[in-house]
Amino acid sequence: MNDKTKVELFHHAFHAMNSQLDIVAWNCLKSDFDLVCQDIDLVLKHIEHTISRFNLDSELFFVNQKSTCEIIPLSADLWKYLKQAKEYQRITLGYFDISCGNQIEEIKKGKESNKNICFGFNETVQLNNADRSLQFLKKNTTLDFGGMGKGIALAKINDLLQEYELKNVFISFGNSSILTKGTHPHGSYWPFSLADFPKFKLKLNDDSVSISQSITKNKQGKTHIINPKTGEVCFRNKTVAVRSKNPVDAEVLSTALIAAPKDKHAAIKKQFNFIECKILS
Amino acid sequence: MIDKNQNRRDFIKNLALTGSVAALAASPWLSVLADNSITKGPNEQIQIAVIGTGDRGKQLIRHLFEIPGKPNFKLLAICDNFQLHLDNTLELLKEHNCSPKTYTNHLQLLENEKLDAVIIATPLHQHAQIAINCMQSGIHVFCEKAMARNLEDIKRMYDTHIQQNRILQIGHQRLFNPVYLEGMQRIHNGDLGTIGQIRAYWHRNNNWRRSLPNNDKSLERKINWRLYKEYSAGLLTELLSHQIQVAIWALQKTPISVMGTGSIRFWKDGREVNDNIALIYSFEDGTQFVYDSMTSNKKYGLEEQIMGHKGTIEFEVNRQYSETPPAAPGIQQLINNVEHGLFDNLPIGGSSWVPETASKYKGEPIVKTNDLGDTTLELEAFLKFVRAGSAPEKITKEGYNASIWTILGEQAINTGEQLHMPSEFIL
Repeated sequence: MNDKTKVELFHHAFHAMNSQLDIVAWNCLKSDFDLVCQDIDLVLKHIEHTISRFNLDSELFFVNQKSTCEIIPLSADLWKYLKQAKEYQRITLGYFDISCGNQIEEIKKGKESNKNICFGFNETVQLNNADRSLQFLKKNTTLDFGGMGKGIALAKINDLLQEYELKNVFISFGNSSILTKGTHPHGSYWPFSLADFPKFKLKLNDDSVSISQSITKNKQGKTHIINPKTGEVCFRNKTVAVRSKNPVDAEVLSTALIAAPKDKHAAIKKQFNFIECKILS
Repeated sequence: MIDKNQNRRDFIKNLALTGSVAALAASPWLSVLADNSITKGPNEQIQIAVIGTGDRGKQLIRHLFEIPGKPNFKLLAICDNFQLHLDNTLELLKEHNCSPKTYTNHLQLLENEKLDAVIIATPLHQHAQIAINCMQSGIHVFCEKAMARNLEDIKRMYDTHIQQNRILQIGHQRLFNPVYLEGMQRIHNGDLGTIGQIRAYWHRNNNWRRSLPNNDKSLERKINWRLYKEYSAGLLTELLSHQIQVAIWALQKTPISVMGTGSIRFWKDGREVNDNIALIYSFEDGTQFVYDSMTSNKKYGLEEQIMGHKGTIEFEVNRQYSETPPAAPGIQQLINNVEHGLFDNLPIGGSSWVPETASKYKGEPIVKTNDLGDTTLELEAFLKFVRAGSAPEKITKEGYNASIWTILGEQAINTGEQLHMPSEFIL
C-alpha cells in the first residue's frame, strides 16, 4: 500500500462575498482546523458586513446611499480600507479606483459608453482625518471594493493561519484568488496553473496569487473591469496573474494591469513588491 | 405537454423505489402511493360520504374529483347540520354530474347508507363522536386534523380504529407533499446531520372571523367555531397541529415535554382563543421544536425550518441550505489527487469577476416541481387504502401524536407549566 494515500486532508467551504471559499489543509489537528474555520467564517462575515456594496446590512451599502451634502462617520475598519484604497489609486496611477462602482453598474446593465468616465477617487471622495468621516464630492458616486475585497479577506485569513500555526494550507477564493502555506502532501510545493493557460505553471509555498481577466478564452461572461480614466470597458483578451506575499497587493495589481494601457505597466509594477507577474493572452 | 399528474406520480414512484430503508420506514405510505395496480384493478366501486360540507369539506370534495385516472368511487351522500352548506355543495357537485343524497344527521346517514368510507370535515369538537360511530359501523375514516378537541377523545378515536380494524387517516396533507417526502428522505438519510432545533411559525394578519349568513347573530358560534374554546383550540388545532406533525415526522420521535404561553393581544372582539402563541417542545435527545403563531402580522408567513449541523431545510419555500458547500470542482480534484497519492498540476485559476454577482446564497430547491397537489394525493392514497382494506399504521400514529401534542400545548399555555405526556396516552 502506498503510504502517500494515508495523508489526512481536511476540507471546508464557505459561501462568502458572492463566491465560494475552499480551504484544504493537512498535517494539523482536526480541532485546530475546525477552530480556524470558525474564525474564518467570522472574518468573512465581518468583511462582508463592512465592505459589501450588495449586502443591505453592510456599512458600505449604507454609505453608498448618502448624498453629497452629508458627512458620514465611518467605522475604524472601513476607514482603514478606504485609506488603503486611496493609496492604491495613487500608486496605480489611477488605474485602480474603487470610486467607479456606479460606472461598473451601468456597464453591467448594458450601458457601455465613454460617458461612464470615473472622475477619480480624489475628485469624488473626501476623507476627513479629523473625525474619520467621508463626504462624496460628486453625485452618483458608488464605492466598490470588488477589486480588493477578496485580497482583504485572504490577508486576514493568512494572519489566522499563522496564529493557529497551520503550516500546509491551500485556499481558493472563487478560483481567482489563491492563498497557500507550506506544501502539497506529496511534493515540495503546491502545483498551480490557470484553467485557460495550463502551460503557465506556478510552484506555490507561502504565496498568494490573483488572476484577473478582461475576457475569458472561451468568451463566456463579460468583463466588469473598466479603465477609470477613459470609462472604456476592458475588452482586450487579456489575463493577468500576479504572485505576491501580500494578497491585497496581488488583487489590486492584477486589476490595475487589466485596466491600464501597456505603456503604463512598468511604472505601475514598479510600485509593488511582487514575486511574479504574467500577462497572458 | 407533459401531464402534471403523471409527473407527480412518476416522482412519487421514483422516491419509493430509490428511498433507503430508513426513509421508507419513516414514510411507509409512499410505496402504497407508488403502486398503480391498486387503482387500476377492476375492483368494486368505493361508496363514500362526506360529513361536514363547509369550506374545508367542499375543498376536499373538489380534490376528490381531481384524482387522476379512474379512482372508481361514488359520492353517495353528503351530510351537514347546516342546510346552506348542503345547498352550496350540491351546486358545486352539478359540474361533476353528481347528485348525492343529503343528510343533516350522521347517525341517519349511517343507518340508511351502505358506505365503505367517509370523509369528516366538521368542526373539531364533532370529529371524535362521528369518527367513532363510523368506525363502529365498519366504515373507514378520513378525518380532517386535528383529531379531536381533547386528549380523551383523541385516544378513543385511536382505540376504536384498533378495535374495529378500520382505517383512520388524519388530514395532514404534508405527508403526501413531494417537497416534504423528498426532504424527509434527505433528513432520514442524515443529509442535514444532527438536528438540533426545528423552528416553525405561522403568521397571518387577519381576524379569522367569517361573516354570518344574513348577519344572523345566532349563527356566530356555528360559523366562527374556531374562535371559541368549546369547539377549537384556535391557532393550535388549526395551524400548529400541521407543523408539530412535520417536526415529529422529521425527528421520528415524539416530544417529552412542552411549555408555552399565549394571549389575546390584538383581536379583542369577544373571541376566546388566543391570537398570539409561543411554545417550546423538547425531545429526549435534546432537540427543541420552537413554535410561534400570530394573526396580527404576516411578514414572515409560515415555515418549518429543520436545522442540522450540516444543513437546513425550509419546507414551505422548497429550499435546502448547506452549512458547508461541496468542494469546488478544482478543489475536489485536489482532494482526489491527494487521496490517490498524486502530485499533479491544479489548473483551477480563472477570472476574478465571474462569481461577482449581486446574488446571495439562496440554497437549492428540494424538488423542481411546483405542482404539489398534496391534498389530492392524500385522498388518492386514502382511496387506495380503502380498496386494500388497510393503511400503514404509522399514518394513523402521525395524526395521533400530532393531535395529542397539540392539545398538550394548549394545556401548557393554560397552566403555565411544563407538561409531559400522561402515560395513558402513550401508544
